[in-house]
Amino acid sequence: MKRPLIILFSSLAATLLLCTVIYHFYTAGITKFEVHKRERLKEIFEKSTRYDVLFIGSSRTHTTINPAVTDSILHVSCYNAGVEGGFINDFLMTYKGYLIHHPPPGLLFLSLDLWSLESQSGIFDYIQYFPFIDNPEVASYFRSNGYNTSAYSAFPFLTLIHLDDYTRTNAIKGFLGKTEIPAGEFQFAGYMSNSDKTIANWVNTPPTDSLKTLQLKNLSSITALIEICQKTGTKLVISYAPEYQRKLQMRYTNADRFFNAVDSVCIKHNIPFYRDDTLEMSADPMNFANPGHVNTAGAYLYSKIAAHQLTKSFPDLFPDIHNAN
Amino acid sequence: MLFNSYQFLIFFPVVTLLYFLLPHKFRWLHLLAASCFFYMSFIPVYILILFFTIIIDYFAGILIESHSGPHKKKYLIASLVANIGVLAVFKYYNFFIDNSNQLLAHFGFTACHLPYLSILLPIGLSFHTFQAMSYTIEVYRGHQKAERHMGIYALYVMFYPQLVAGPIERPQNLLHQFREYHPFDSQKLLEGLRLMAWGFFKKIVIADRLSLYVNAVYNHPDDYHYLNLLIATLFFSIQIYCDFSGYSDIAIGAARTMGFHLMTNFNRPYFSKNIQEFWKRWHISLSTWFKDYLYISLGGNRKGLKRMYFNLSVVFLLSGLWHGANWTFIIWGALHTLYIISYLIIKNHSKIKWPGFVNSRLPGMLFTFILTTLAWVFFRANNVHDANTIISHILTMDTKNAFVSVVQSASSIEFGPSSFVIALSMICLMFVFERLVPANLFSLNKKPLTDIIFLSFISVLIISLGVFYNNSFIYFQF
Repeated sequence: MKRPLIILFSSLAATLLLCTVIYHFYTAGITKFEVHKRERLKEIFEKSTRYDVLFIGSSRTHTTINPAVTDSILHVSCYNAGVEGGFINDFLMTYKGYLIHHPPPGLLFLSLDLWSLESQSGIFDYIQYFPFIDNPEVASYFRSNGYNTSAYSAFPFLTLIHLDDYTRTNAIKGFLGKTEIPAGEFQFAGYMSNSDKTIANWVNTPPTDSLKTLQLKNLSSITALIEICQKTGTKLVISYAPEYQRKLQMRYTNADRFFNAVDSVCIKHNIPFYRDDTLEMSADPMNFANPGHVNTAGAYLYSKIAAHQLTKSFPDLFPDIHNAN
Repeated sequence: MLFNSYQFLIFFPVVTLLYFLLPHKFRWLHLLAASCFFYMSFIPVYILILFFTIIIDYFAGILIESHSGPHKKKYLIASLVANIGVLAVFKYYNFFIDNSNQLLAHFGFTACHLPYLSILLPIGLSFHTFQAMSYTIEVYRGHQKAERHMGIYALYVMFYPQLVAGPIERPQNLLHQFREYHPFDSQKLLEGLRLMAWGFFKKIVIADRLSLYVNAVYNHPDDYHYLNLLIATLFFSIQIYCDFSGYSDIAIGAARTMGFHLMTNFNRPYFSKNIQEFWKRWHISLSTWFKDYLYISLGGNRKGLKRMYFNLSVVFLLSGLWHGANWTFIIWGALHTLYIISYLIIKNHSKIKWPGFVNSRLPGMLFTFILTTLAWVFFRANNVHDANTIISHILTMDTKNAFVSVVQSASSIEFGPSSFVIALSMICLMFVFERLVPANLFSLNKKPLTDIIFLSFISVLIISLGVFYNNSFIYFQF
């Protein structure tokens, strides 16, 4: 009678021990590999530095706006809080989580993607937020999407069940000393440079036989974000980041519907909406590492343009600069 | 409630613990209530269908036993008609209507359009219907006494571990177990959990990982290169085995923890030397059902070779239709008919003396695997057109850009090199293990340290390499 139970409990103990060891290896590896992402999220969810301008968006934000450039033009302190993925809930959670420890910024620069409103309640990639479930806002989003945060706090190795093979591989790469930031790239205040590669010789055309249709399921989260900004006295601007010759938009049957919907929300609440896909720089392949992401030179150029746009839209926030211009 | 869900993670230990805490006389009630809860977690209202067949078959069993002659047969037929009727309405009605409408349109009756039923297929309908039919048939044949306790009979049909995807039990094996007292037995608990762990490993680590690739390719076969289609087809052969045998292992293991013994459903089928052996090892509870209740009733092999081939054709075509109301399943059944009859003809009539190596196990295994894999194309494809596309593309063997195509598709499918490496290494691990250890894993009983290593190693693999997307089991749809 006893022996099978001893086997069972020994197996359970061995499993817990091995999983804990694997989890620590995984954490060490992924922290090293995704150092840029971890540092950015740590700054957002755990630190309390005051920033005057906060940029929120997806990878099309954190590779696009260089706070070093905007700081120098606006003479304020900016932080790029772009996260991986592009759902509005990621942005809302990021901003709410940011406000837990940080004072509200003077200006919130929200950069939306075409697919930002696709998901009703989901987060684009939960895995990246697991180390930050101690932040009440992150925990709240996890719980409302069916995650038992107490279980993850008690047994952190349970995070392992949510990993995909791509993340597992990255953890191993990190453990072997590699990092996702390629040699020659750098980070500054959340911004990550995105190489000197260009798409000057880019010949690919978007597939025309498998066009997707956008679902605008979550327009209300923009309103929620607007209300938070109103409560904290934070100015808000919404943008659509540069995109090479609208190549992303060409993948959808109804991209205009997205722009019209965002436009009407912005008009209703008197919020500037920057259609930066229409900038002159968006026609130049030398500014892009791929059709949706600018390269280092493109980011430098766009950061300057964005800073000057802000001085025009918010002369009261940046009076010296505006008058100088 | 899926076995691979958080709900089951709570449901299973609670039900098992309560089972042992309760006095024996209440255990059937507890299991019945738990089974109802389990089934109702899918689509609650469909439990009424189960109740309908349970009531019909319960009374049919008593009436069959208490009558003789033509009356006895009449009650059996009534029971079979009720069961097959439920299947016909819920599973085959729309298929029949669809084909009838097409036929009518073909002959110019375009105005005549028969209406479809807007209903979902109840989970596991084919399984519990067949199990219910085996009861009345066995009572009719005098192999089983009619069950007087309606609750026990209901539990026979609804016993939660095998309710939705088998094994399709026989009353002689299962019914009496509900009356027997099963004291807590830590050895059986260990054996059950071990088998469940192995089932979860096959399902979550292998089948669900492969399904990412298979689903992407099979849902858009025109978009992929022949090499992608070939890989997806080979993957599906493994996926369906791991998915279904994984389910069976979890079901048998879950029942075992409470002291119940369910029949073996898979016995390492891909190690079969020929197609006949394959069918003795694959979905054993279904193939023996067809053999016991259809093949033998049709005369089996007692009425000459031609009649035997005819009987086999009927069995395999119906087996195909049992899986689903789609021509793809019927073609799958037809292909297996062709395989088995060809095999029997060659076996019985060929005078060719094959060289020794041809008769050795490995070539036979490979050949059987190729044949079954070819048939799986029809089983998995969304329609006959897709299946033809897949086979014709594979047969082109167009090597141009093959490697580039596979690499490019890996990123679009989100099944990168690491997924390939993990999938292939886990498949190898599974086959090596199944080759070395008997299907029921009971040989591990003798070596406690091996047992600890096995259990913890498998659990760690499940947690660290599992694909936890709450994927359903393929056979739930049947």
